[in-house]
Amino acid sequence: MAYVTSILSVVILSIIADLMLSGKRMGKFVRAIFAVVTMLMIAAPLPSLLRGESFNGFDLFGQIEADENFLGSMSELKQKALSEGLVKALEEEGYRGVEVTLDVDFNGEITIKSVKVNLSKMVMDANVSHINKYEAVEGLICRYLGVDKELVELYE
Amino acid sequence: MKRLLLIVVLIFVSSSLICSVKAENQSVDLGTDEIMGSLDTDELDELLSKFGDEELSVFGYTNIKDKLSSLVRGEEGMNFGGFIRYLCDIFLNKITNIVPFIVSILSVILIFSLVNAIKGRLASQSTEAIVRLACISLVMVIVFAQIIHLVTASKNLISFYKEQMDCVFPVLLTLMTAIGPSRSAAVYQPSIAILSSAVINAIIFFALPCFILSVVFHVVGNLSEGIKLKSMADFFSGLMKWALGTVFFVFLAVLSIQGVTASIYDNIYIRTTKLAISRYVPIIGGYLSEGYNLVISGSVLIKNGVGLSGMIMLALSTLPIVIEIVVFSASLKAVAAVSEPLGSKAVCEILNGIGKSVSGLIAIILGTAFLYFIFMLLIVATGNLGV
Repeated sequence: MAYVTSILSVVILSIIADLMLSGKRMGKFVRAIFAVVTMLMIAAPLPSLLRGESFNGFDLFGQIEADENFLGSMSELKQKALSEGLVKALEEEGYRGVEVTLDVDFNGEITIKSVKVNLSKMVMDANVSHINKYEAVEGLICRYLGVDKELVELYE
Repeated sequence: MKRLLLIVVLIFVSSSLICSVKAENQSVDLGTDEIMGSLDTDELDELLSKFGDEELSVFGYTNIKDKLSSLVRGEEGMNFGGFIRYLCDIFLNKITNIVPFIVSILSVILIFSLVNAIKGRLASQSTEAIVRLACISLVMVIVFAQIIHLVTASKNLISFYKEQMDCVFPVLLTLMTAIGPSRSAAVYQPSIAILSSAVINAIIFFALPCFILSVVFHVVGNLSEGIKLKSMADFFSGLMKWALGTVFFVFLAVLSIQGVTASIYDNIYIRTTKLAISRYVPIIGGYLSEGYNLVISGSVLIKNGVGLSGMIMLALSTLPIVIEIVVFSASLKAVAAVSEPLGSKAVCEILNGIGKSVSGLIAIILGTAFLYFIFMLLIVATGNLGV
């Protein structure tokens, strides 16, 4: 605003001077001087612009970050969804009451770090009761999740 | 070339965007309540609180989570009847507000014309020039008061865009990361940072001052026949248009390429993930992927809901100011048309010139809004096809 006001002031002064000196010999001379002063006023901010002083607060890059707490909650939800899905799959095979806790890394490809299975409350259907439950459950989990036996931990 | 690129971007976005947020089967619980419970929307609620009562009645809710819940349940994103009524109310309000401005300018011009007509041989050329200068100055003071109000409102709006971007994009980025890998988020994050900082600051620190200077030089150049500043005014006007056009074009081009690669990668990833979970036992594996798919689908619905809410907020903040500038520009041209037969050629030229210059302000606002809108569309569309 100060810049605009200064230019307007010079222009108005030049108009007044032009009106007062119109038709006189000094008129053209005064007009030329005011034209030069006007150009100087217009070009006045250039040095500070070139030094970059007029751009205080000009940021090129802002900070945009994801909510890590929410991402952690979502990872837990996904793990819970996979655990529940695995429990349903085991129930289909006749193994009920199994509690499964998965440790999964969802960054990039899904990587299963460990599978903990609590068999203390497990109830087997009649058609599978004669099978070694530990080997059977471990085998099913390895097959469903595509993991090695070392990652599966069974306990009661 | 620019129009062709714009058309390509719009075709891509409209073919991949799923505008409907609602679930296909509304009776199925998608677990979105649990997802929304952990989502931090305090900043969005604070942003929403800055809108007036009329805008909030169009938005429908005063709380973002309530709005998202309604969208997921299948309710309309916006009450279109209420929105049209809102626009009509604003338009009529702005016309009512501009009437005193038009009347005051016309009064000055009328008085000047009358004085000019009756002066006869009473006034010399100098007196006539002084009276003419006084008339033009008075008209310019009235016009400049409005222009300053509009430029201030525009600057506040651009700053409000930055606030909206700083609130909406982190939430969208978080949801995008939660749905898939961080690849898309990594692709978009620098562009978001540049848009919300460099582009907005370039408009505030460069484009708006160029606009003000072009208007000032145009007016000053017409104050007196001895002062010629028309080329200076055209220079700043052209500089503003060139800078804005280049920034918008480059940004849109980069964005459209990023949008294509990020979207394709995400879609492949999501489908690969679903296949990997069910690959060993296709039927039983469906149990594994079903729960996981529900979580992902719920997140996508919420992401689309946040995007839609952001677009509604953008429209509600932009339209009142754009309507005000359009009404102002139209009123200037109307006054110029009326003043021409009254003999005020200088005032007519100045008003016509300012009326055209003000369209630059509309270009700045709509260009920035369009960039923000396209960015939001791309982020909302990313990952939608894979689910």
